[in-house]
Amino acid sequence: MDRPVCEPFPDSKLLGMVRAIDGIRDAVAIIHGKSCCHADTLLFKILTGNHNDVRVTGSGIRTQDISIGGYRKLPIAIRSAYEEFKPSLIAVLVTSFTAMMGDDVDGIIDGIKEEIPCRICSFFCPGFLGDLASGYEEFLDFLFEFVEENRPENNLINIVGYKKDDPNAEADLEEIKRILSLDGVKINVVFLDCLFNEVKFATKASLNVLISEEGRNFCMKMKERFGTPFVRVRYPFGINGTVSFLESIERGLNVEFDRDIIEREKGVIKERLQKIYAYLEGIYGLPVAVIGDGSRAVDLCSFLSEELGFEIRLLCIKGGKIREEELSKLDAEDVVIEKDQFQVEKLIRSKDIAILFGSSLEKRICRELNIPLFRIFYPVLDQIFITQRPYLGFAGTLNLVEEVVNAIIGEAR
Amino acid sequence: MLQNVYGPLSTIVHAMACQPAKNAGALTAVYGIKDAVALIHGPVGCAALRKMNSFEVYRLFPHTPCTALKEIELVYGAEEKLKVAIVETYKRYRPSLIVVVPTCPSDMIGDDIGSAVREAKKEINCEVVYSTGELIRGRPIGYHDVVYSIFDQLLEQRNYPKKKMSVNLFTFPVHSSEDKYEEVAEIFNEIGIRINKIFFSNTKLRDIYELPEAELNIADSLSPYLRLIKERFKIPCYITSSIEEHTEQTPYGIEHSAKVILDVARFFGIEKKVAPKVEKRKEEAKERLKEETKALKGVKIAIVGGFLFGIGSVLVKEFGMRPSVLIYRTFGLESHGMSKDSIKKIIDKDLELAKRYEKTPKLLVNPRFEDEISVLKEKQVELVITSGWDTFRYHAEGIKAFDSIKFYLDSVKIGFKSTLKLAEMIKKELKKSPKKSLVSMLEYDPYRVSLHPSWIKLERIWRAVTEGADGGCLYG
Repeated sequence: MDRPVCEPFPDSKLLGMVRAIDGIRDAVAIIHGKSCCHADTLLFKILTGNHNDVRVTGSGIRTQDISIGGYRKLPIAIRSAYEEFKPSLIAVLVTSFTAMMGDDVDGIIDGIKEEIPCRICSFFCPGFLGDLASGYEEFLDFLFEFVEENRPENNLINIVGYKKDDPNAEADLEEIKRILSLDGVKINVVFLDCLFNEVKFATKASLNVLISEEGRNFCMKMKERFGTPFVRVRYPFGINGTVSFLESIERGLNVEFDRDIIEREKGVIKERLQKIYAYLEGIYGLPVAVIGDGSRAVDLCSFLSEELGFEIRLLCIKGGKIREEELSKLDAEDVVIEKDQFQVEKLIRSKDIAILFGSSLEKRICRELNIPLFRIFYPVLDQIFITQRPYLGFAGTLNLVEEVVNAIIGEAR
Repeated sequence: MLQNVYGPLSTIVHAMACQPAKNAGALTAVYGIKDAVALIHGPVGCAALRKMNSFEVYRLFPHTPCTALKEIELVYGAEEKLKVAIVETYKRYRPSLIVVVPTCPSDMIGDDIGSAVREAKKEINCEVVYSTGELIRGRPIGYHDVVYSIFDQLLEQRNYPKKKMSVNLFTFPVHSSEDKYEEVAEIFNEIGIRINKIFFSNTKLRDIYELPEAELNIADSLSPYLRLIKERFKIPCYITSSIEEHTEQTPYGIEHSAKVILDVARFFGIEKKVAPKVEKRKEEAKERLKEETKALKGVKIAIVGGFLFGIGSVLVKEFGMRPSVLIYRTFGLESHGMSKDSIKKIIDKDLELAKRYEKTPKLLVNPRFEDEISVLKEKQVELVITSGWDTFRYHAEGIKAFDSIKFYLDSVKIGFKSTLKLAEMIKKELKKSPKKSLVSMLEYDPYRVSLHPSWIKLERIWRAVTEGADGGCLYG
């Protein structure tokens, strides 16, 4: 039964759509609605991404526009967005206000599309429909329509379900590229961190590597229409996660990766870990909570549990798509899917944990409980990521260990 | 500190690339009351974004419960759901006050929120108030509506016991409001004027009930809720800021602070009695200031933004500094809805004032940065008073600069102490050597010197929408 009150996480379709569109590096999103939607979405973008690449603007609708609709303002916003950014794609995002006033957005777009030499599209994103994952998914579905037939190339893959505003995402992608390149695998298109024009070449890849569930539909369509196979991989957290990630791709491509490479990488990790072995012994068995999105949270949990030996007192999935079977394999005391922050905080209080792996939204509860917060899930609004220090892959294993141990010995009570 | 760190980021949502909107204003008002909780009447998707606080970008709103409206309720109405949600909100958070904040969908379906509130109040032991959305205008939008609604719905028209010679002080619950009135409150106490309440500073619901017990309200500007208090309880309001009249006075500085105190004393009929005490404080402060500003007299300064909004007039009138250059970047004023004609009037008035203290002040309106630098060098300006986070740009050119916004956010208060502190800070700045920091090697727009080129694009789009469609600024 629905609760009469919910304190939601930032889980709106509008935000999911904006995050996805941001992954097309030459696209602009126009929030067609009032300032609340525009300002808040813009702030999410600015605080979780690069300050010098912000492509979110608004049509500046006001209450009095209810009588005349967006026919004056939206064309100005579209023309101006084109003029300033010269984008390949302009996406108009219809919010609650403009959806409910029945604005004929597609009619407006039809009226000016001849004069704007780029693709203009619209998406229905009112607050009463969908969630963050559905926004991301719908945009991927839209992109699918631009994929063209190409000859697949060996050892060329697409990454599907990547979110460039996840904490450390840029460095993570670089590490993924690095570990794949060691076995001669290259990335064709990253969904979503590519140019609009690159989408049509997606079929050059001989395999789609699905990193989060939001891309499953896209991968299935690619398989159905173009015969491109896909594999669902784990987020490569830790050694096991990375090896599993590589093995899935290996199977998908039907090739054999060089085991010596993996052993060499593991050797480097081992050598470094020796230097702080006593801390690794000390943190073994510490009780922790993980509050995050979809498979990223599940896969991080596996690393924390299997490789660092933490006791997972609570895994809370607060958003994103997930498959039931992913949860069942986990060694965690309590696993819940909960989108109400009030309830999540209540749960956290009920567990005696030493550190919490979450997002900036857990800052308040961590301060209340006087425990360190390791920010690793979207949205991270109060940390920056500009160096190449990935959390994923072999290199990410050491970075994670270093930062986790430092957070515990530096901040825990 | 964080308000400074996030300052440059927050400018982007303050009329540069968009406008903070009514829900941010509404939630700011609600959370100005320590024991209140906002209940957002709207869908999850709408409430999901409302964690973000446009006014204090570094701080999320603490609680954003919502009624989680579904499509079907937007068709059939959601009054019953709202009633149940109010009761549940009370059970969850145990607040003293729940403020129902509407969203676009609930505004558009025309729910009878008042009726749902009345029904819910029968079942809970706390006050419930509902905001009307945008009915009460004023900036920031949403803020005034909530404060107005709280006062309107909680304070009935009746005779309240009066605390003789007492005042309420009003301030905005962000931007260092905590101690903005600290010194003036101390002086009032000394001369026998009681502080009834300071809104909003550690305000709780019970403080609001005692609001009508004061005899005078003191505020920066006459907000709609102060008009309501004036009409309903016959409590007049003294306005400390002269911004609306542009009479060359800022609400700060030694002279004007003394004026504020004496004006209030006059209201209570004790001006003659307390004047010697106030004069004594003022003279002591002036004496100290004389000492502090010896080294500042005659120092050539450039003031970005002129005298209207900043500390410029204090520097010129009280510190004896010379306004050699006045620099205006009008896009900020324009995007806040000021007409070109009004901007010209302000500039003319400022120039007139500057000429009283400097023979030939140079005026620069929207200059290119490099032109600005040549003028500053040519006029041998020793210190630039900036109105943003761009002191580093001047430092990189070997010119000393003082960030008046940081001073405004951190240290400005009505009273004598902050003027002395300002003098100390300016002196300290003049002793420093300009630095060529990492940030000065980055790319900036030549005109809007504090903005990165990509933000200029967003600013231009926003300007096109606001000017093209509205002929002025956006307001909601």
